[in-house]
Amino acid sequence: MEIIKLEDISKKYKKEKVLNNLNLSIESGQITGIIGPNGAGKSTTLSIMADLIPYDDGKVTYRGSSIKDSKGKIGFIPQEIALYDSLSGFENLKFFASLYGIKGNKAKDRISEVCQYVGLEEKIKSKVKTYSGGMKRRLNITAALLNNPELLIMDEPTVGIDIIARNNIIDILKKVNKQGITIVFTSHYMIEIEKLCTYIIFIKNGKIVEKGKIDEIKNKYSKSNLEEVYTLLNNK
Amino acid sequence: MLSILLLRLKLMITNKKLLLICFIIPIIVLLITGKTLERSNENLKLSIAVVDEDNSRITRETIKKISKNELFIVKESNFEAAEKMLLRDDIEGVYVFKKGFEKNIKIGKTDNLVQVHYLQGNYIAPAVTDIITSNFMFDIVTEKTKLIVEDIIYKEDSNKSQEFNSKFNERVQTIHKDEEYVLPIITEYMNSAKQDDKNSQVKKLMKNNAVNIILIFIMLAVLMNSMYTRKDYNTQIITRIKMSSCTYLKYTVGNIMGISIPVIITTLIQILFIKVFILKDVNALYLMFIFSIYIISFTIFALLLVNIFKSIQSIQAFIPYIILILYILGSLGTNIRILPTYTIQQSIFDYLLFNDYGNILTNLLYQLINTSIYFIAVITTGYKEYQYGNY
Ligand SMILES: Nc1ncnc2c1ncn2[C@@H]1O[C@H](COP(=O)(O)OP(=O)(O)OP(=O)(O)O)[C@@H](O)[C@H]1O
Ligand SMILES: [Mg+2]
Repeated sequence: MEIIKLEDISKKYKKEKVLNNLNLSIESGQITGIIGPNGAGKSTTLSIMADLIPYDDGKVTYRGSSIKDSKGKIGFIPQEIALYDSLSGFENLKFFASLYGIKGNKAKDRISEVCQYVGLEEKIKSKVKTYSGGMKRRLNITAALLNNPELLIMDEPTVGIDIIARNNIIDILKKVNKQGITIVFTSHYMIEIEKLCTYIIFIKNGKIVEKGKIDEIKNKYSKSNLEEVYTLLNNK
Repeated sequence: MLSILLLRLKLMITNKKLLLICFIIPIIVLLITGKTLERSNENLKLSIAVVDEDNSRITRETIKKISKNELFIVKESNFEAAEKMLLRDDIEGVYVFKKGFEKNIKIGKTDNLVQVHYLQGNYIAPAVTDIITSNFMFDIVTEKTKLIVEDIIYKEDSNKSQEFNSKFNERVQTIHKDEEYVLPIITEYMNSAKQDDKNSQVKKLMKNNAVNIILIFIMLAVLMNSMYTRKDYNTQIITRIKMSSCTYLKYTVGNIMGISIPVIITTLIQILFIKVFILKDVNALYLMFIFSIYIISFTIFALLLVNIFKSIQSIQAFIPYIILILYILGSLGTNIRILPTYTIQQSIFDYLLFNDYGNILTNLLYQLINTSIYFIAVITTGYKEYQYGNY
């Protein structure tokens, strides 16, 4: 069953056409990776899914009804580290929780719950600017989990961190997915995509070049890893 | 909305540089300049221009007397030149001794003797008027007039002369008995009919100075805090805010309150500080009220600038130009009318920054109009970016 569906989506920035009759759907309960070269339109696609930006043509549905009904059910993690670095991790989370109306003791409980979940308890009271890159990324993800979303949309959640920190995040995302949260994310690291995703969507110049189950696609092009598939599709 | 408010408060408290600029430096500056002004009290001289239309013995003597006073630097000239000096802000006011001064005094007519011209917003001129009235005019009305009356008029008819004399003395006595009495023409220019003490003009200067310093730091604090809201966009925190059900209106109102409330609180502390340590007779309640409204208004104005210029760097780079533009607009919009009864100087600069119309209700009205205009502008300029973002 699909959780979110984009039908004939077109999007222009000024005159430049960024998305061109895009059709895709995200399977509920699965992890889907969106890949493609820089400027392909991945971030734009994710933003439309999260109802963050308007589009020119097409239709977006969330569980069969309007995307507007999904308010509060989607967690979105921006490409940047969207945190106030002069505040502590706890203060950041408290602010984001309060935006969802989670306040007082309820907020405290929820914050310690998610922090335990992602392994951030020790440094949560110190300022974000004292965190390592990996910790910031983890906190960035944690902030989107506060309102217990059904769908987690992430734009390059692991950019710029080392393998250990990345594997840590991969583990967290697997754990999140096991709880029944659907995940869509973009990444330029094919190993990470292979480790996490069951489905992939390859976008180039605002069009879908290939989509489907990762194993089926590898078989279709008779390649042993995703990186080779990526290179092939990119040159197509 | 409340979340945004608390967030701004927290961000301000955790920012040491901002605390230093908004809190500590203004108090130090206030203290230093307050004390310096107090000490320079004795050397302080006020420039005024005097136009002697009557050119009579009495007017010449009076002007001589005023000139001798150590409080004033008196420039005697014709009205055109005096007006120019006034517009250049070289002098505090123009005192025109009107034609017929001597003649009117002789017949006991004491209204419309002197016309005072000064620019609106000048607190010093009324004080100068007070001093001139109380120290010099009574001399004329009492002694000089009497002498002249005895000397000149009705020389040949001693009965008539005596009659006039007693009548005039009656009048003089009434003047002395009635403490509230001041020359009618001058009353028009004085907001307070009560006599100020000797240092009133220095105090007014100090008050002006304190108000200006507070104003500058309010502007700094508000501008800096407003610039920090750009971080929400630069770090994409704004997408998190949008993902929750926070509308642009709520976000903006939260920002306005979150920026203005801490500044209002610090300003209140500064005003209390002034009242306790520098100027005891300052009307703190009035100042607090006016400043609070002004701070909210300026916060919205600053957020408007932030919406227009977007990045912190371009706002900072643009500040001198903003001042220049305000200055040019201000001088274009300057509307100076010098009428015998009132004087107005109103520029867009005053209008944008601080409306001092003397009257609290007019002040309030202008501020409310300003604030509504800015608010509509903020909502319209920022909505698109909030809605469509930079994705
Ligand atoms: N706010 C914007 N205004 C104008 N053009 C934009 C805007 N945002 C994105 N674009 C353009 O749209 C195209 C797609 O951008 P998008 O950010 O979706 O790409 P992407 O696939 O996420 O790239 P990357 O891998 O570099 O993150 C690019 O050509 C980009 O220049
Ligand atoms: Mg991107």
